[in-house]
Amino acid sequence: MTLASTITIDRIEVLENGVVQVRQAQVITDSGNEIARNFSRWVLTPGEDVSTQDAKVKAICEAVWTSDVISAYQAQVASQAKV
Amino acid sequence: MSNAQYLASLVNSSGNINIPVSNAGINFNNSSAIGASTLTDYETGTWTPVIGPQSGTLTAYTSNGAYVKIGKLVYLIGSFTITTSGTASGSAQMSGLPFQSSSSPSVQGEGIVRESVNTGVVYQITNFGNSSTAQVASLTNGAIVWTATYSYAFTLTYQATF
Repeated sequence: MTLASTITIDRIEVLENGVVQVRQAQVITDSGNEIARNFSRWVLTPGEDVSTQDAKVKAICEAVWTSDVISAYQAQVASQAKV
Repeated sequence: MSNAQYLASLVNSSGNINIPVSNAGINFNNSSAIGASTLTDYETGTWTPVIGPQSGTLTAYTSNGAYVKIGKLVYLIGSFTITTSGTASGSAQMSGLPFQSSSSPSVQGEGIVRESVNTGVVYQITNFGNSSTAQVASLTNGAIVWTATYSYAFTLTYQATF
């Protein structure tokens, strides 16, 4: 029995307003056979600091987050009524 | 291939049924609206609530969270505990939610919060549409208590974008 754990970013979802949803998967294997898979998620919003993110996530954010996208997202947030 | 053979082909060696087409799901034939009656997603996992005060600075806290997503419905549970309050005051702003909320229909996700160590006082948590943030406040939209050892447990339900 050889247990191993691998952590990867297995899903990167870009929403219409430029928000990026990231899913990280931790896969536990026993002698190469997957015995468990656990997910962890977070959301990145346009203009957010992504310097500590996975390289693929960072590259996608930088490609999607043009100044227009960031401005539109900030305007959207500002327009939301909070009562 | 017969229907029975096709259905059998969807079952993998672990006994799980796999939907082979991206974004396809289980269509419940109880509605004329196929899109509204197709279950396309189920997922469970963890997330980490990021907490900030309405005013001032929070020095230290711990937090944890878990989620269940069934179709568009997102159900969150979690908690955060004040370790060192610093100058924090006002309501709590929470980010790091695992999914962006939908703006259509334009409704707020709501939930309940309970200070579970010192007082048992109940608060509210609100997720505003089209965001991955939430606000924790008193039932009259006022401040929470930013005192070390105070621990807030919560549940929140909202609708995701897909």
